[in-house]
Order: sequence, then structure tokens, then C-alpha cells
Amino acid sequence: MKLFADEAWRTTWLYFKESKGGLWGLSFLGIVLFCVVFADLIAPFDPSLQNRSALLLPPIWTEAGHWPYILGTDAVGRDLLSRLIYGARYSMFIGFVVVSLAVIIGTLLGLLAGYYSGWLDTLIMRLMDVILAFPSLLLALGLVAVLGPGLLNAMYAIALVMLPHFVRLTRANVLSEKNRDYVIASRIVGASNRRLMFNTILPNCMAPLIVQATLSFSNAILDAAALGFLGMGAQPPLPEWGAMLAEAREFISRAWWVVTFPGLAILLTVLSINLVGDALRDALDPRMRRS
Amino acid sequence: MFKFILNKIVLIIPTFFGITLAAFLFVRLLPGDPITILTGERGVSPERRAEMVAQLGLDQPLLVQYFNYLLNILQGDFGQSLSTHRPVVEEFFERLPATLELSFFAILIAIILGVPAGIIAAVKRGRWPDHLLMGVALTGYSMPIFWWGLLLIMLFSTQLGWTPVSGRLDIINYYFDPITGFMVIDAWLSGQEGAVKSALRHLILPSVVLSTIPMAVIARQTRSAMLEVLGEDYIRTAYAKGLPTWRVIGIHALRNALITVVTVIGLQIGTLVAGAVLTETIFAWPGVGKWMIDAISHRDYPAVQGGLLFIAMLVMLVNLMVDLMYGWINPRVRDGK
Amino acid sequence: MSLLTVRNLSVAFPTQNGWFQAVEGIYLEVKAGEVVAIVGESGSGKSVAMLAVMNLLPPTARISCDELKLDGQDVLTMPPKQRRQLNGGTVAMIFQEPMSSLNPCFTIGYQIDETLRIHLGGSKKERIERSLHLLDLVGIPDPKRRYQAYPHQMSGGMSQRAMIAMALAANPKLLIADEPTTALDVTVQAQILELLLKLQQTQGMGLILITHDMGVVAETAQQVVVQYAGQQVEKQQVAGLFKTPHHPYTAALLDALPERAPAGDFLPTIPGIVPGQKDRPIGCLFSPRCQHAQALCHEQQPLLQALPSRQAAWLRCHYPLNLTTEAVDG
Repeated sequence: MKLFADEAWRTTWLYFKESKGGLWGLSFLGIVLFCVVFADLIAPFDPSLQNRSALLLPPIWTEAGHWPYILGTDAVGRDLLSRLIYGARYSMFIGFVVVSLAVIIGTLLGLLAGYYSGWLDTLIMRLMDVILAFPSLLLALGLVAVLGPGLLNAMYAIALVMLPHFVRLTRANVLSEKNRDYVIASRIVGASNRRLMFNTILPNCMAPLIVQATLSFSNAILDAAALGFLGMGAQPPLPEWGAMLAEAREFISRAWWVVTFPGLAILLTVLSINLVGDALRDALDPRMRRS
Repeated sequence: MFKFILNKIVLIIPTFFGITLAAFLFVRLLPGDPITILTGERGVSPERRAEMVAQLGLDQPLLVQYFNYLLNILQGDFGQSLSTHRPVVEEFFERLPATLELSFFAILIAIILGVPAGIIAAVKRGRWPDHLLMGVALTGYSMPIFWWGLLLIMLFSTQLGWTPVSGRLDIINYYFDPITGFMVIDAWLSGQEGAVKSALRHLILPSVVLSTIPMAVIARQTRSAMLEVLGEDYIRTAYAKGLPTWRVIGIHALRNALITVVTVIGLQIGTLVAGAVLTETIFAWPGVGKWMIDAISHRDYPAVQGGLLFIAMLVMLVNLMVDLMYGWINPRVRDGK
Repeated sequence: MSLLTVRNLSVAFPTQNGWFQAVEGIYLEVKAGEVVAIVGESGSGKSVAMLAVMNLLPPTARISCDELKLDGQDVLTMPPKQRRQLNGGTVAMIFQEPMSSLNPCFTIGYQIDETLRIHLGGSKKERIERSLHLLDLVGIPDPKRRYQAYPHQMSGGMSQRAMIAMALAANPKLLIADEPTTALDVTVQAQILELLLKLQQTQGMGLILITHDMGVVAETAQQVVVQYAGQQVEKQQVAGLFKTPHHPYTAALLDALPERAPAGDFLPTIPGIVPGQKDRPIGCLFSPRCQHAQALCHEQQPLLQALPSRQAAWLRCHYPLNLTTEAVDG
């Protein structure tokens, strides 16, 4: 199944290129992805290796800092830089899994609701209303409380909390597409319901879904980090950025670097994804193209 | 207008049943036996257990149990906290003012800074003020606010010593009984010199942290709403009438943009509650959010269940109010069209 | 004294493919009590030229002008604040889409009152009285009720009347009406036009009427300017223009009028469309569509020339029609 013609990708890229912010975001994401893939090669240390003779060592450019601990060490003498590099793996993994889950299930439910209408539509949409009635982070927290703290459970919870956005978006698009001439035409020539849903209608609803998926990716990273920070997500000693911040909290008055860098990593990653998302939205929105 | 209000109220009824059902199933779905969950890890004597099963109706069909639960809720009985053995309702409403006070100041800051930023960015579209303001807004939108809070504490409390690290009041120097539960008002009512200042000093960092994401969202949405409105024919008319620019932008354009912006502000309430959980945890702010986190980490399930339900109902109520406000500020909706 | 003097006004807009010349070398003169019609197809730059006069174009537009005087005051050298005060006070404008030209969030009364407050001042009571009088003047029944109405509660015709009331609020000396009846029902069109002319006469205003309807021109205007692709091609008194059009474009427009076409035949049309940014001809802009075009027309742009035998008449054509008895003055 081909969702986009090559031509469509090329035009999208042409418009995407116009956005400086989008290019910056993409470049930083490139660095993060490089860390994800080559963490074993570029990280100077094993992320869980403790050095009892180098506890809470400040970064190298301060007076007390020294080689090879570039960004310093944490309270048990682990190299901060190496932990941040490995941490990129968790953040990207969380974002990817959460968004994939939410997109696949959400799109499916949205397609069903929009295509079949009737009681199925009502049931699905009321269910989504219920999920939306709870503030997302709080509901995720509640779910983690039920499922038990841990990275995987946190990811399921966040995916569930994100579900309604994809369902609503897909349904709205399906509703506006399903009575278009091209859909009716392929119905007349005898296309099956499944074919109509997945091969005819779905590809024409992709643009807003892609944008939503990008923005959800950054939300997933933020929420997972928040859960990690609250002790409900990834558990120490995993070098997940949020969990690292939770550990660093007590050193707030003594060691600024253990607090500053993990948060900065989260901020920059989330920011660059959002920059890409914004640029992508502008590039995919035909209304923006005219000017 | 009356019909409009009625419609909105009718629409939230199924959602109300939905969230109560969700809250009910929340405890039932927990792995393990509800009695253990409701009484805590230490467990109870077999006699007490049998008594509780009968009392909670656990021997009855699930639907009857839900019905009973609903009945209890409607009578204001949300169960008892495991850790304090006090009614969840009491615990919740005791802490609600602290959260409301914090949220109020946060949304105030978000509006005061976010709306003008959005207007300026729209008016200066494509030029440096636009790029600067929207860059800041996107950074704010991407901010992990728990880290942002820690950074501000590090800078303003630890380094500069300007603001206190946590709590709502300097309790060494001031003491007064809560009257409204809102510290700033209580401090003012107490008449103690410097109390209001102390309360505000405690309030400033948490509300700045909590305001960050709503502010960013409000600024971005105000900008796009203004851009849309500024292209309308009636803006040209306003200029043709010879109105000064501030009046065209600040009254004719803003009034129309506000219709969207108010909705956006309303939708931020959910974000605000979620943010309150993090902010209150960082600043040891004794509000609902911190209470929920404590309840979750103590496995105080009745409290979690009741708290979630309360908050969902609160958010629903705010959304209803936003809908009504939308009708009020949009003349076309007001007429029931 | 003339209310409006425009000499050599040009407007260009930036596009992705460079500058687009929307208006080129416009001249205009309007006296008190005079009705001037500007005629042309869509895209001929009629509205843009008048928006430039009103200073209502977006800041990205590039405007150049040798002289622009409103009521004897030089607008080009005026500080922005003073320039703004002319709008609504000395010169007012009404637009094509009355429904979207009124702000949906404010009552009609509020929007009229705003103009009064800025230009005339006076107490709240006096202003309300004047607003009600204005609503009555433009033929809105039950002014007291309409004063508190929102735009969405009124029909298109009523909205345009309200727009006119708003425009007249501060007794402007010149009113620019940009296709004021295009968006309205046919039955309402005549009423609005009639109202405009009645008000123009009783108030002694100058009126610039932008339209693409030659029929409207015949009934209303004293002077007619014909515009094509951003250029003025001909200007004459209305009687002369209808009797002896000199520019082939004017002649073609007149031939397309149902009243003038031979009975029982097809209505003649002008083949082709107004040139856009990319297909602008080198010579006369009308040459690709002109039945009378000759070699020179395709090579060289004709200049705007005065017709000496007639008062204030201009022409932009190499080979004018119906000019047997007089020579064109270079």
C-alpha cells in the first residue's frame, strides 16, 4: 500500500525546506538519532559504570572538572554524557512505540467510527469522550498506579491517553472524504468495504495524521519523562532522562550539572520535534502554500 | 440562549456516566482482591472482611455494584482514604483551594503575557518580533516543566535567595487560621504585616512554572486567530472609517479573535491540572496534585479513585462554562443559530 | 475646486515571480457633486487604485504617485495620523460585500457611533440621535431596533444600507463605492443605487462608482473612466462615451450590452481574458483581444493622450475609432 506518491513527498520537502526552524529541528534530530544508533561507539563510558573516586564531578570547563568526564559525573560516579547518550535511546524508543500504538489503534477506531457511523460510531466516540474528560497526565498516572510503575506500563498508559486525538482526527477526515466523488466511484465499481476504507479513503486522510503523529511524538517523550520524574515511569538506574532528573533532584543545591543537562536534553529533543512538526504542518497544508 | 445552555448540559450527561463507570472499574480492574486494595497491604480479619464484602455489596452483580457506587457518589460519599481514614471528599476539598489559587495565578500570568505576545506576533508577522516571540512560545511549549521548576529554584532560591524553595507561607513568622483556604486572601484578612507579601513570594515561582505551557499555547493560538481575523473585510472597513490602528487591532480584530482564544484558554484547564501535579510536587505545594501523587505512591486507591473522579468532573464543569462563555461572546451563537 | 486629484498612480504587489503591476499610471479628477464611474472587467485594477487612494492596501504593496490630493490637501507628504483622519471624515468608502464588511461582533449602532465619535464628537445622546437619523436616511425601517441589531441579523441589502449610513456619518465630501451592488439580489441592486444617487445629490458629495456594469454607468455617471489591465484606456463624458466610443475596448464593452445588441442575435462577446502577470503583451495591453489591432499595436504601447476637442477626455490607443473629424494630439 502506497500512502503517498513520490511527487507528493517531493513537493512537501520543497515547502518544508522553506522553514529554517524545521531544518534546525531536523538537524538536531539527526544528532539524536546518531546517538541512538551509535551509542555503544561514541559514549565514552558504560552508562551504569560507577567510579567511586569521581563522585559528583563538575563538567570539564569548570575548575574542579577533569578529563574524561566531559559533562561531569553523578552522585555514584557515572559519566553524565554517556548516560545522556544512552538516554536518547529510551526517549526515541518511547516516542516511537507510543505513537505507533496510538496511531495504529486510533486510526483503526477512527476509520470504523467514521465509515460505519451508527451505534459503533457512538460507542467509540463516547468512549473517547470519557478518556478526554480526564487530564491526560493524571489519567496516565492513574493507569500506571493500576498497572504498576515501570517504563512499559507508562508507555501503554500514555498511548491510551493519546488515542482520542487520533480517533477524532481520523473520523473527521473520513466523514469529509467518504462522500467525495472518487470514493463513490470506486464503490460503484464494486470495491469492498475494506478496500474502500484502507486503500481509497485512508491515504487521503494521511496529511493531518502525520502532523498529529509528529506533535504526539514530542508529547509522548515529555509525558514519559514526567512519569519517570515522578517515579512512575522508567526506574533507576535506567539512564532515562526523566528518571535521571528524579535522581538528581536532591543535589539541586550542590551539583547544578546533574539537574541541568538531562532536562536540557529533553527540552532540545522535544523542541526540535515540534519545530519539525510545525514546518511539516505548514508544508502539508495547501492553504499555507499560496503565500 | 436557554436552548443552547440546555443542549450543552444534555450532552455532558453520557460523559458523566462514562467517567463514573471508568472510576468504578478503575478499582475493580486492579489485579487482586478489592478488599485488599481498599484496606491496604496489611489486610483485615476474616470477620471484618465478610462485613466489608456485605457492606460494599461485593457479593452482588457488577451492575448492581456500579449502581450502588453511583448512588453513593450522588450522595457525596466518595469512600475513605486508606492512609488517613477520613472521607475522600474532605481530603480533596481541603486541598482544592491551594490548587485553585495556584492555577488562578498561573492562568492569569499566561493570559496577561500570552495574549499580547500573540497579538504582537500577528501584527509583526514575518518580522523579527514575530520570530522571537514564536520562538520563545515554542520553547515554552516544549518545556519539561518539572525541570523548568528545578532550574528556577536553582537560580532564584538557591543562588540568589530571592524566593522561598517550597510551601505557601513563611510559617515561622506568620500563623493564622484558614478562612477561605486561599493563602493570599487569608493573609490579607489576618492583617499581619508582611503576610501577603510572604504568600505572594511563595506563589510566584510555582505559578510561573505552571503558566509556561498554557502561555505558549495561548500565544500561538492568539497569533493564528489574529492573523485570520486581520485578513477579514471588516478590518478594512474599520481602517476606512479612519479608526486609529490600536483601535482596529485592539478592539475590532481582538474582539473577533477572542472567540477562538477563549475556547483555547478553556481547553488549557486540563493541561493546567496535569501541570499542577508536577508543579506541586516540585514546590511541595499542598494542593490536590501533590495529594494525588502521594496517594498513588501510597497505593491509597480510594483516594486516587475519588480524586480522579473529582478532577474529571471539575474539568467537565470548566468546559461547560467555557462553552457557555463562547456562546456569550459570539453574537451568532447567542441567537441560537 | 476638485475633491480628488490623482496623477500617475501605480501600484505593484510582490508575488513569487516578482512584482505584479496591478495599477499603472492612473489619472483621476473628481469635483464636488460629480459622479465618476470607473468601469472595467474583474482584474482591471479598479478597486486596487481606489484602495490606494484610501491608503488601505497592505504594507507589502509598492505604491508610486506624482500627486495625490484629497480636498486640496496633499496626501503624499501628510503625517500618517493626519492622513488617517481624512478617512471616514473627508473621504469614505463602501465595499462589495456588505455582510463581511461589517464587524460581526458589534451592533450596527456601535459601528456607526464609532465613526461619529472619531470625526464629529458630541455627547452620547447627540450621537445616538444622529445615528438613528442616518439609519432613517438610508431607508432602514425601525431604526431604533436596527440600532441594536448585529450584522448577522440583517439581510444583505440592509447591511449595505447600514454601511452607507456608516460611510455618511461624518458628512464626507467624497464617497467611493466599490461595486456596491454586486453581491446583492437584483431587486435590491436598483434600490441601493437609487439611494446612493439620491444621497449624493442631497449631500452634494462627489461619488466614485466602481462597477463593471455599463448599464449602471449610463444611468448614473457624468464622467466615465474605462480601465483595462491596470491601465486607463479612455475617459469621456458619459454621453460622448456612449455615442462615440474611441477605444476599441470601450466599443466592445458597449456592444456587449443587451440593449444595444441587434435583436434576435447572439450577444457579442470579447474573446480572451485580461492578461495576467505572465502573459502581458509587449505592445498595447488590449492588442491580443482587439479586432482592430495592427502591427504597431503589437509592438509599441500607446501613450495616454488628451482629446483636445473634448473637455477632460483621454485616450490610450494607436488607432482610435470614430475620430474622423478630429486629430489626436500627441
